[in-house]
Amino acid sequence: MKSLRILVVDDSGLTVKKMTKLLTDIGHEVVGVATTGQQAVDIFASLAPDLTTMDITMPDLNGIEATRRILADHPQACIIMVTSHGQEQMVMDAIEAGAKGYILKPVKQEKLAETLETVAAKYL
Amino acid sequence: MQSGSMLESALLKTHFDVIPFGIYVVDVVSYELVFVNRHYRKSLGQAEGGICYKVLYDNDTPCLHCRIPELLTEAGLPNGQTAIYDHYNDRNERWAQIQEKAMGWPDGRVVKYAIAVDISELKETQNRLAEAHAELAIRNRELAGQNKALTDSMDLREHVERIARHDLKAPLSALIGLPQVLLENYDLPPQAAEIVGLMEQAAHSMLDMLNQSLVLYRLETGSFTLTPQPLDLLDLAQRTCTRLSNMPTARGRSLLTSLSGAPIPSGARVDFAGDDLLLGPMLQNIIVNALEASPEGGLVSVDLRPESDATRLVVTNDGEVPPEIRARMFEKYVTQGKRGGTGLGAYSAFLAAKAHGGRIDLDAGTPGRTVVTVTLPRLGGGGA
Repeated sequence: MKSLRILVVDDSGLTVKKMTKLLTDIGHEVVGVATTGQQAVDIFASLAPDLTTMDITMPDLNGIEATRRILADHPQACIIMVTSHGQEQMVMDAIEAGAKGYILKPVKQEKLAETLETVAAKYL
Repeated sequence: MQSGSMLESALLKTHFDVIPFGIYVVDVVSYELVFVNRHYRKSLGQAEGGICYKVLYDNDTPCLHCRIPELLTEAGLPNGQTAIYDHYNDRNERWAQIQEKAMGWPDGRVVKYAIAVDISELKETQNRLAEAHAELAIRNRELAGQNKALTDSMDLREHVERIARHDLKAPLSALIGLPQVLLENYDLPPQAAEIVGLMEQAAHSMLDMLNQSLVLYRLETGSFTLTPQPLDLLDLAQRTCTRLSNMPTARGRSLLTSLSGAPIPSGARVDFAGDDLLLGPMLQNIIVNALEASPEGGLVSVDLRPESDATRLVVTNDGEVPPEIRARMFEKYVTQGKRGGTGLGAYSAFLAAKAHGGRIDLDAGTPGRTVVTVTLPRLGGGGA
Protein backbone atom coordinates (compact mmCIF):
# COMPACT_ATOMS: atom_id res chain seq x y z
CA MET A 1 0.00 0.00 0.00
CA LYS A 2 1.10 3.60 -0.48
CA SER A 3 2.77 5.48 2.34
CA LEU A 4 0.30 7.48 4.44
CA ARG A 5 0.81 10.83 6.16
CA ILE A 6 -0.32 10.21 9.72
CA LEU A 7 -1.19 12.38 12.73
CA VAL A 8 -0.70 10.61 16.08
CA VAL A 9 -2.86 11.83 18.95
CA ASP A 10 -2.01 10.54 22.44
CA ASP A 11 -1.18 12.18 25.74
CA SER A 12 1.38 9.51 26.61
CA GLY A 13 4.83 10.35 25.37
CA LEU A 14 5.70 6.64 25.49
CA THR A 15 2.77 5.69 23.28
CA VAL A 16 3.61 8.46 20.81
CA LYS A 17 7.16 7.14 20.56
CA LYS A 18 5.99 3.55 20.11
CA MET A 19 3.33 4.46 17.57
CA THR A 20 5.81 6.57 15.61
CA LYS A 21 8.21 3.66 15.47
CA LEU A 22 5.53 1.14 14.51
CA LEU A 23 4.12 3.39 11.79
CA THR A 24 7.53 4.24 10.38
CA ASP A 25 8.53 0.58 10.37
CA ILE A 26 5.55 -0.29 8.20
CA GLY A 27 6.32 2.46 5.74
CA HIS A 28 4.23 5.44 6.83
CA GLU A 29 5.18 8.98 7.80
CA VAL A 30 4.14 10.62 11.08
CA VAL A 31 3.54 14.23 10.04
CA GLY A 32 2.36 15.50 13.40
CA VAL A 33 1.70 14.71 17.05
CA ALA A 34 -0.99 16.07 19.35
CA THR A 35 -1.07 15.33 23.06
CA THR A 36 -4.60 16.56 23.73
CA GLY A 37 -7.89 16.32 21.85
CA GLN A 38 -8.11 20.07 21.47
CA GLN A 39 -4.60 20.23 20.04
CA ALA A 40 -5.60 17.60 17.48
CA VAL A 41 -8.64 19.65 16.44
CA ASP A 42 -6.49 22.79 16.22
CA ILE A 43 -3.72 21.38 14.04
CA PHE A 44 -5.76 19.02 11.87
CA ALA A 45 -6.58 21.51 9.09
CA SER A 46 -3.01 22.71 8.65
CA LEU A 47 -1.56 19.17 8.59
CA ALA A 48 -4.31 17.61 6.44
CA PRO A 49 -3.12 14.08 7.27
CA ASP A 50 -4.28 11.04 5.30
CA LEU A 51 -5.09 9.29 8.56
CA THR A 52 -5.20 10.02 12.29
CA THR A 53 -4.64 7.61 15.19
CA MET A 54 -6.63 8.85 18.20
CA ASP A 55 -6.39 7.97 21.89
CA ILE A 56 -9.58 8.34 23.94
CA THR A 57 -8.59 9.45 27.44
CA MET A 58 -6.76 12.75 27.14
CA PRO A 59 -6.73 16.02 29.05
CA ASP A 60 -9.02 18.92 28.02
CA LEU A 61 -10.90 17.11 25.22
CA ASN A 62 -11.32 13.36 24.92
CA GLY A 63 -10.65 11.48 21.69
CA ILE A 64 -14.31 10.75 20.94
CA GLU A 65 -15.29 14.41 21.11
CA ALA A 66 -12.16 15.40 19.16
CA THR A 67 -13.12 12.86 16.45
CA ARG A 68 -16.63 14.29 16.32
CA ARG A 69 -15.34 17.86 15.96
CA ILE A 70 -12.74 17.02 13.32
CA LEU A 71 -15.31 15.12 11.25
CA ALA A 72 -17.80 17.96 11.54
CA ASP A 73 -15.34 20.22 9.70
CA HIS A 74 -13.62 17.54 7.60
CA PRO A 75 -16.16 14.80 6.79
CA GLN A 76 -13.59 12.89 4.73
CA ALA A 77 -11.12 12.64 7.65
CA CYS A 78 -9.98 9.10 8.32
CA ILE A 79 -9.64 8.51 12.06
CA ILE A 80 -8.93 5.24 13.86
CA MET A 81 -9.07 4.87 17.61
CA VAL A 82 -5.98 3.47 19.33
CA THR A 83 -6.98 3.12 22.94
CA SER A 84 -7.00 1.02 26.08
CA HIS A 85 -10.80 1.26 26.38
CA GLY A 86 -12.58 -1.90 25.24
CA GLN A 87 -15.92 -1.37 27.00
CA GLU A 88 -18.89 -1.82 24.67
CA GLN A 89 -20.34 1.64 25.27
CA MET A 90 -16.99 3.30 24.61
CA VAL A 91 -16.60 1.33 21.37
CA MET A 92 -20.11 2.27 20.23
CA ASP A 93 -19.60 5.94 21.12
CA ALA A 94 -16.38 6.03 19.09
CA ILE A 95 -17.96 4.34 16.06
CA GLU A 96 -20.99 6.61 16.32
CA ALA A 97 -18.61 9.60 16.41
CA GLY A 98 -17.26 8.39 13.06
CA ALA A 99 -14.15 6.31 13.81
CA LYS A 100 -13.19 4.09 10.86
CA GLY A 101 -11.21 1.60 12.93
CA TYR A 102 -10.61 0.55 16.53
CA ILE A 103 -7.39 -0.92 17.91
CA LEU A 104 -6.78 -1.81 21.53
CA LYS A 105 -3.46 -1.39 23.30
CA PRO A 106 -0.94 -2.90 23.34
CA VAL A 107 -0.76 -2.26 19.61
CA LYS A 108 0.60 -5.14 17.57
CA GLN A 109 2.39 -4.24 14.36
CA GLU A 110 0.45 -6.78 12.26
CA LYS A 111 -2.91 -5.58 13.59
CA LEU A 112 -1.97 -1.94 12.95
CA ALA A 113 -0.80 -2.68 9.40
CA GLU A 114 -3.92 -4.72 8.64
CA THR A 115 -6.27 -2.02 9.97
CA LEU A 116 -4.51 0.75 8.04
CA GLU A 117 -4.65 -1.30 4.87
CA THR A 118 -8.37 -2.02 5.27
CA VAL A 119 -9.21 1.58 6.10
CA ALA A 120 -7.05 2.93 3.26
CA ALA A 121 -8.65 0.55 0.75
CA LYS A 122 -12.15 1.63 1.78
CA TYR A 123 -11.77 5.34 2.36
CA LEU A 124 -8.56 6.71 0.83
CA MET B 1 6.76 5.41 70.33
CA GLN B 2 9.24 5.81 67.52
CA SER B 3 10.33 2.19 67.85
CA GLY B 4 6.66 1.03 67.93
CA SER B 5 5.95 2.86 64.71
CA MET B 6 9.02 1.39 63.05
CA LEU B 7 8.03 -2.10 64.18
CA GLU B 8 4.51 -1.62 62.83
CA SER B 9 5.92 -0.35 59.55
CA ALA B 10 8.30 -3.29 59.29
CA LEU B 11 5.47 -5.71 59.95
CA LEU B 12 3.31 -4.15 57.21
CA LYS B 13 6.20 -4.23 54.75
CA THR B 14 6.84 -7.89 55.56
CA HIS B 15 3.17 -8.70 54.95
CA PHE B 16 3.20 -6.83 51.63
CA ASP B 17 6.48 -8.46 50.60
CA VAL B 18 5.14 -12.01 50.81
CA ILE B 19 2.15 -11.24 48.60
CA PRO B 20 2.91 -12.50 45.07
CA PHE B 21 1.47 -9.41 43.32
CA GLY B 22 2.87 -5.92 42.85
CA ILE B 23 2.02 -3.60 45.76
CA TYR B 24 2.99 0.02 46.18
CA VAL B 25 2.17 2.60 48.80
CA VAL B 26 1.88 6.30 47.93
CA ASP B 27 1.63 9.43 50.10
CA VAL B 28 -1.76 10.89 49.07
CA VAL B 29 -0.48 14.46 49.40
CA SER B 30 3.02 14.39 47.90
CA TYR B 31 2.59 11.32 45.59
CA GLU B 32 5.86 10.00 47.03
CA LEU B 33 6.31 6.25 46.77
CA VAL B 34 6.52 5.27 50.42
CA PHE B 35 6.95 1.57 49.80
CA VAL B 36 7.21 -0.91 46.90
CA ASN B 37 6.96 -4.61 47.68
CA ARG B 38 9.43 -7.29 46.65
CA HIS B 39 7.37 -8.33 43.60
CA TYR B 40 7.36 -4.80 42.17
CA ARG B 41 10.99 -4.09 43.10
CA LYS B 42 12.00 -6.81 40.63
CA SER B 43 10.71 -4.71 37.74
CA LEU B 44 10.94 -1.15 39.13
CA GLY B 45 14.18 -1.37 41.08
CA GLN B 46 14.64 0.79 44.16
CA ALA B 47 11.67 3.12 43.51
CA GLU B 48 10.92 4.27 47.05
CA GLY B 49 11.25 8.01 47.47
CA GLY B 50 10.34 8.67 43.81
CA ILE B 51 7.11 10.24 42.59
CA CYS B 52 4.55 7.58 41.68
CA TYR B 53 3.35 9.00 38.36
CA LYS B 54 6.92 9.53 37.17
CA VAL B 55 8.28 6.17 38.31
CA LEU B 56 5.31 4.00 37.38
CA TYR B 57 3.98 5.74 34.27
CA ASP B 58 6.71 8.12 33.14
CA ASN B 59 4.27 11.06 33.40
CA ASP B 60 5.18 14.59 34.39
CA THR B 61 1.85 15.28 36.08
CA PRO B 62 -0.51 13.16 38.20
CA CYS B 63 -2.25 10.50 36.08
CA LEU B 64 -5.69 11.17 34.62
CA HIS B 65 -6.84 7.85 36.04
CA CYS B 66 -5.59 8.64 39.57
CA ARG B 67 -8.23 7.47 42.11
CA ILE B 68 -6.79 9.08 45.25
CA PRO B 69 -9.64 11.65 45.52
CA GLU B 70 -12.16 8.76 45.59
CA LEU B 71 -10.43 7.18 48.58
CA LEU B 72 -10.44 10.16 50.94
CA THR B 73 -12.93 12.11 53.01
CA GLU B 74 -13.19 15.87 52.54
CA ALA B 75 -10.77 16.18 55.46
CA GLY B 76 -8.24 14.08 53.54
CA LEU B 77 -8.63 10.98 55.73
CA PRO B 78 -9.23 7.39 54.51
CA ASN B 79 -12.94 6.92 53.68
CA GLY B 80 -12.83 3.10 53.72
CA GLN B 81 -13.73 2.82 50.01
CA THR B 82 -11.88 0.44 47.69
CA ALA B 83 -11.36 1.41 44.05
CA ILE B 84 -11.03 -1.48 41.62
CA TYR B 85 -10.25 -0.92 37.94
CA ASP B 86 -8.36 -2.34 34.98
CA HIS B 87 -5.48 -0.26 33.73
CA TYR B 88 -3.12 -0.39 30.78
CA ASN B 89 0.40 0.79 31.50
CA ASP B 90 2.07 2.32 28.44
CA ARG B 91 5.43 1.99 30.16
CA ASN B 92 5.56 -1.81 30.30
CA GLU B 93 2.67 -2.46 27.88
CA ARG B 94 0.92 -4.63 30.45
CA TRP B 95 -2.66 -4.70 31.73
CA ALA B 96 -3.29 -4.78 35.48
CA GLN B 97 -6.36 -5.01 37.64
CA ILE B 98 -5.70 -2.50 40.40
CA GLN B 99 -7.28 -2.43 43.87
CA GLU B 100 -6.64 0.72 45.85
CA LYS B 101 -7.51 1.82 49.37
CA ALA B 102 -6.37 4.64 51.65
CA MET B 103 -4.98 3.93 55.11
CA GLY B 104 -2.90 5.50 57.87
CA TRP B 105 0.80 4.65 57.55
CA PRO B 106 2.67 3.96 60.83
CA ASP B 107 4.68 7.20 60.46
CA GLY B 108 1.40 9.20 60.61
CA ARG B 109 0.99 9.94 56.90
CA VAL B 110 -2.17 9.11 54.97
CA VAL B 111 -1.28 6.79 52.12
CA LYS B 112 -3.01 4.71 49.53
CA TYR B 113 -1.89 1.18 48.87
CA ALA B 114 -2.41 -0.36 45.47
CA ILE B 115 -2.37 -4.05 44.64
CA ALA B 116 -1.80 -4.66 40.93
CA VAL B 117 -2.55 -8.05 39.45
CA ASP B 118 -1.25 -8.63 35.93
CA ILE B 119 -4.21 -9.54 33.69
CA SER B 120 -2.54 -9.07 30.31
CA GLU B 121 -3.36 -12.60 29.09
CA LEU B 122 -7.01 -12.26 30.05
CA LYS B 123 -7.18 -8.81 28.44
CA GLU B 124 -5.68 -10.13 25.23
CA THR B 125 -8.79 -12.25 24.63
CA GLN B 126 -11.19 -9.55 25.79
CA ASN B 127 -9.54 -6.96 23.58
CA ARG B 128 -9.67 -9.12 20.46
CA LEU B 129 -13.37 -9.60 21.16
CA ALA B 130 -13.86 -5.84 21.59
CA GLU B 131 -12.00 -5.19 18.31
CA ALA B 132 -14.23 -7.70 16.52
CA HIS B 133 -17.24 -5.99 18.06
CA ALA B 134 -15.98 -2.62 16.81
CA GLU B 135 -15.39 -4.02 13.33
CA LEU B 136 -18.94 -5.34 13.25
CA ALA B 137 -20.30 -1.97 14.36
CA ILE B 138 -18.29 -0.24 11.61
CA ARG B 139 -19.60 -2.66 8.98
CA ASN B 140 -23.16 -2.14 10.22
CA ARG B 141 -22.70 1.59 9.88
CA GLU B 142 -21.37 1.17 6.34
CA LEU B 143 -24.29 -1.12 5.49
CA ALA B 144 -26.74 1.41 6.89
CA GLY B 145 -25.08 4.03 4.67
CA GLN B 146 -25.45 1.81 1.60
CA ASN B 147 -29.09 1.11 2.47
CA LYS B 148 -29.77 4.80 2.75
CA ALA B 149 -28.11 5.47 -0.59
CA LEU B 150 -30.26 2.74 -2.13
CA THR B 151 -33.44 4.11 -0.58
CA ASP B 152 -32.56 7.63 -1.74
CA SER B 153 -31.93 6.32 -5.23
CA MET B 154 -35.27 4.48 -5.26
CA ASP B 155 -37.04 7.59 -3.99
CA LEU B 156 -35.40 9.62 -6.74
CA ARG B 157 -36.39 7.04 -9.37
CA GLU B 158 -39.99 7.06 -8.14
CA HIS B 159 -39.98 10.83 -8.15
CA VAL B 160 -38.75 10.91 -11.74
CA GLU B 161 -41.28 8.27 -12.76
CA ARG B 162 -44.06 10.23 -11.12
CA ILE B 163 -43.06 13.36 -12.98
CA ALA B 164 -42.79 11.39 -16.23
CA ARG B 165 -46.27 9.93 -15.76
CA HIS B 166 -47.66 13.36 -15.04
CA ASP B 167 -45.86 15.01 -17.95
CA LEU B 168 -46.96 12.28 -20.36
CA LYS B 169 -50.58 13.16 -19.79
CA ALA B 170 -50.39 16.48 -21.64
CA PRO B 171 -49.20 15.14 -25.03
CA LEU B 172 -51.50 12.17 -24.57
CA SER B 173 -54.52 14.48 -24.35
CA ALA B 174 -53.64 15.73 -27.82
CA LEU B 175 -53.34 12.16 -29.12
CA ILE B 176 -56.79 11.41 -27.74
CA GLY B 177 -58.41 14.59 -29.04
CA LEU B 178 -56.88 14.87 -32.51
CA PRO B 179 -58.32 11.63 -33.95
CA GLN B 180 -61.79 12.97 -33.13
CA VAL B 181 -60.96 16.19 -34.99
CA LEU B 182 -59.82 14.15 -37.98
CA LEU B 183 -62.90 11.93 -37.94
CA GLU B 184 -65.37 14.80 -37.56
CA ASN B 185 -63.84 17.37 -39.90
CA TYR B 186 -62.28 15.41 -42.72
CA ASP B 187 -63.92 12.99 -45.05
CA LEU B 188 -61.56 10.12 -44.46
CA PRO B 189 -61.74 6.94 -46.50
CA PRO B 190 -63.23 4.10 -44.38
CA GLN B 191 -59.90 2.30 -44.03
CA ALA B 192 -58.15 5.47 -42.84
CA ALA B 193 -61.03 6.25 -40.45
CA GLU B 194 -60.65 2.78 -38.97
CA ILE B 195 -56.93 3.32 -38.43
CA VAL B 196 -57.56 6.72 -36.83
CA GLY B 197 -60.15 5.05 -34.59
CA LEU B 198 -57.55 2.48 -33.52
CA MET B 199 -55.11 5.29 -32.76
CA GLU B 200 -57.68 6.96 -30.52
CA GLN B 201 -58.37 3.65 -28.78
CA ALA B 202 -54.65 3.08 -28.22
CA ALA B 203 -54.27 6.57 -26.74
CA HIS B 204 -57.19 5.91 -24.37
CA SER B 205 -55.55 2.63 -23.29
CA MET B 206 -52.33 4.46 -22.66
CA LEU B 207 -54.11 7.07 -20.54
CA ASP B 208 -55.82 4.27 -18.57
CA MET B 209 -52.45 2.63 -17.95
CA LEU B 210 -50.95 5.90 -16.76
CA ASN B 211 -53.85 6.52 -14.41
CA GLN B 212 -53.60 2.97 -13.11
CA SER B 213 -49.91 3.25 -12.50
CA LEU B 214 -50.43 6.50 -10.57
CA VAL B 215 -53.12 4.84 -8.46
CA LEU B 216 -50.90 1.78 -7.93
CA TYR B 217 -48.12 4.01 -6.73
CA ARG B 218 -50.45 5.73 -4.27
CA LEU B 219 -51.79 2.38 -3.04
CA GLU B 220 -48.30 1.02 -2.49
CA THR B 221 -47.08 4.08 -0.65
CA GLY B 222 -50.21 4.28 1.49
CA SER B 223 -51.06 7.75 0.15
CA PHE B 224 -54.36 6.62 -1.39
CA THR B 225 -57.58 7.64 0.36
CA LEU B 226 -60.67 5.79 -0.79
CA THR B 227 -63.52 8.08 -1.77
CA PRO B 228 -66.44 5.68 -2.40
CA GLN B 229 -68.93 6.70 -5.10
CA PRO B 230 -72.15 4.86 -5.95
CA LEU B 231 -71.65 2.55 -8.93
CA ASP B 232 -73.20 -0.48 -10.55
CA LEU B 233 -70.78 -3.39 -10.20
CA LEU B 234 -72.78 -5.57 -12.57
CA ASP B 235 -72.63 -2.94 -15.30
CA LEU B 236 -68.89 -2.54 -14.71
CA ALA B 237 -68.35 -6.31 -14.96
CA GLN B 238 -70.45 -6.61 -18.13
CA ARG B 239 -68.74 -3.69 -19.85
CA THR B 240 -65.33 -5.10 -18.93
CA CYS B 241 -66.24 -8.54 -20.27
CA THR B 242 -67.65 -7.10 -23.50
CA ARG B 243 -64.48 -5.10 -24.11
CA LEU B 244 -62.20 -8.02 -23.31
CA SER B 245 -64.11 -10.54 -25.41
CA ASN B 246 -62.93 -8.62 -28.50
CA MET B 247 -59.30 -8.81 -27.46
CA PRO B 248 -56.88 -11.29 -29.06
CA THR B 249 -56.39 -12.92 -25.63
CA ALA B 250 -60.02 -14.02 -25.64
CA ARG B 251 -59.87 -15.66 -29.04
CA GLY B 252 -60.93 -19.32 -28.91
CA ARG B 253 -62.26 -18.90 -25.36
CA SER B 254 -65.77 -18.19 -24.06
CA LEU B 255 -66.41 -15.43 -21.58
CA LEU B 256 -69.67 -15.69 -19.63
CA THR B 257 -71.11 -13.26 -17.07
CA SER B 258 -73.79 -14.26 -14.58
CA LEU B 259 -75.55 -12.99 -11.46
CA SER B 260 -75.48 -15.38 -8.51
CA GLY B 261 -74.93 -18.29 -10.88
CA ALA B 262 -77.91 -17.48 -13.12
CA PRO B 263 -78.32 -15.54 -16.38
CA ILE B 264 -78.52 -11.79 -15.83
CA PRO B 265 -82.11 -10.47 -15.94
CA SER B 266 -82.72 -7.34 -17.97
CA GLY B 267 -82.32 -4.14 -15.92
CA ALA B 268 -80.52 -5.91 -13.03
CA ARG B 269 -78.05 -3.87 -10.98
CA VAL B 270 -75.57 -4.53 -8.19
CA ASP B 271 -75.17 -1.24 -6.40
CA PHE B 272 -71.95 -0.72 -4.59
CA ALA B 273 -70.03 2.18 -3.06
CA GLY B 274 -66.48 2.12 -4.35
CA ASP B 275 -63.89 3.67 -6.63
CA ASP B 276 -64.34 2.70 -10.26
CA LEU B 277 -60.79 3.84 -11.07
CA LEU B 278 -59.65 0.95 -8.89
CA LEU B 279 -62.42 -1.55 -9.46
CA GLY B 280 -62.41 -1.30 -13.28
CA PRO B 281 -58.71 -2.18 -13.64
CA MET B 282 -59.09 -4.80 -10.89
CA LEU B 283 -61.83 -6.59 -12.83
CA GLN B 284 -59.88 -6.27 -16.05
CA ASN B 285 -56.69 -7.71 -14.52
CA ILE B 286 -58.43 -10.69 -12.97
CA ILE B 287 -60.39 -11.52 -16.11
CA VAL B 288 -57.37 -11.05 -18.42
CA ASN B 289 -55.37 -13.38 -16.17
CA ALA B 290 -58.18 -15.94 -16.34
CA LEU B 291 -58.36 -15.70 -20.15
CA GLU B 292 -54.59 -16.06 -20.48
CA ALA B 293 -54.55 -19.06 -18.14
CA SER B 294 -57.48 -20.74 -19.83
CA PRO B 295 -56.69 -23.35 -22.50
CA GLU B 296 -57.91 -22.94 -26.10
CA GLY B 297 -61.65 -23.70 -26.19
CA GLY B 298 -61.98 -23.12 -22.44
CA LEU B 299 -64.63 -21.17 -20.57
CA VAL B 300 -64.05 -18.19 -18.30
CA SER B 301 -67.05 -17.41 -16.12
CA VAL B 302 -67.54 -14.17 -14.21
CA ASP B 303 -70.22 -14.51 -11.56
CA LEU B 304 -71.29 -11.60 -9.38
CA ARG B 305 -72.82 -12.59 -6.03
CA PRO B 306 -74.37 -9.79 -3.95
CA GLU B 307 -74.74 -11.10 -0.42
CA SER B 308 -75.79 -9.54 2.88
CA ASP B 309 -72.29 -8.78 4.18
CA ALA B 310 -70.37 -8.38 0.95
CA THR B 311 -70.42 -8.65 -2.80
CA ARG B 312 -68.36 -11.47 -4.21
CA LEU B 313 -66.93 -11.66 -7.69
CA VAL B 314 -66.06 -15.22 -8.63
CA VAL B 315 -63.93 -15.72 -11.74
CA THR B 316 -63.42 -19.31 -12.85
CA ASN B 317 -61.30 -20.69 -15.66
CA ASP B 318 -60.22 -24.12 -16.90
CA GLY B 319 -56.50 -23.52 -16.46
CA GLU B 320 -54.19 -24.28 -13.58
CA VAL B 321 -51.89 -21.96 -11.65
CA PRO B 322 -48.38 -23.51 -11.40
CA PRO B 323 -48.06 -25.00 -7.88
CA GLU B 324 -44.85 -23.12 -7.13
CA ILE B 325 -46.49 -19.69 -7.38
CA ARG B 326 -49.90 -20.43 -5.82
CA ALA B 327 -48.95 -19.25 -2.32
CA ARG B 328 -47.46 -16.04 -3.74
CA MET B 329 -50.02 -15.43 -6.47
CA PHE B 330 -50.90 -11.89 -5.35
CA GLU B 331 -47.40 -10.74 -4.47
CA LYS B 332 -45.55 -8.16 -6.55
CA TYR B 333 -43.70 -9.40 -9.67
CA VAL B 334 -44.94 -12.98 -9.31
CA THR B 335 -45.56 -14.41 -12.77
CA GLN B 336 -44.70 -17.58 -14.60
CA GLY B 337 -44.99 -18.80 -18.15
CA LYS B 338 -46.72 -15.69 -19.52
CA ARG B 339 -45.06 -13.91 -22.38
CA GLY B 340 -44.66 -10.26 -21.39
CA GLY B 341 -46.06 -10.90 -17.91
CA THR B 342 -44.95 -8.29 -15.38
CA GLY B 343 -46.43 -9.87 -12.28
CA LEU B 344 -48.22 -6.61 -11.53
CA GLY B 345 -51.81 -7.43 -12.62
CA ALA B 346 -52.78 -9.78 -9.78
CA TYR B 347 -50.80 -7.64 -7.34
CA SER B 348 -52.60 -4.42 -8.28
CA ALA B 349 -55.95 -6.29 -8.11
CA PHE B 350 -55.01 -7.39 -4.59
CA LEU B 351 -54.17 -3.77 -3.64
CA ALA B 352 -57.45 -2.52 -5.13
CA ALA B 353 -59.51 -5.07 -3.16
CA LYS B 354 -57.54 -4.26 -0.03
CA ALA B 355 -58.19 -0.53 -0.50
CA HIS B 356 -61.93 -1.37 -0.36
CA GLY B 357 -61.43 -3.35 2.86
CA GLY B 358 -61.76 -6.55 0.86
CA ARG B 359 -59.64 -9.53 -0.11
CA ILE B 360 -58.77 -11.87 -2.95
CA ASP B 361 -58.57 -15.63 -2.58
CA LEU B 362 -57.25 -18.27 -4.94
CA ASP B 363 -58.73 -21.74 -5.05
CA ALA B 364 -56.56 -24.06 -7.12
CA GLY B 365 -57.57 -27.22 -5.29
CA THR B 366 -59.50 -28.80 -8.16
CA PRO B 367 -57.34 -30.08 -11.04
CA GLY B 368 -58.16 -28.31 -14.31
CA ARG B 369 -59.93 -25.45 -12.58
CA THR B 370 -58.89 -22.17 -11.01
CA VAL B 371 -61.23 -19.94 -8.99
CA VAL B 372 -60.38 -16.40 -7.97
CA THR B 373 -62.83 -14.81 -5.53
CA VAL B 374 -62.84 -11.12 -4.75
CA THR B 375 -64.75 -10.24 -1.59
CA LEU B 376 -65.80 -6.61 -1.32
CA PRO B 377 -67.51 -5.76 1.98
CA ARG B 378 -70.41 -3.34 1.85
CA LEU B 379 -69.26 0.19 2.56
CA GLY B 380 -72.78 1.67 2.68
CA GLY B 381 -74.01 1.20 -0.88
CA GLY B 382 -77.47 -0.08 -1.87
CA GLY B 383 -78.61 -3.69 -2.38
CA ALA B 384 -79.01 -5.77 -5.50
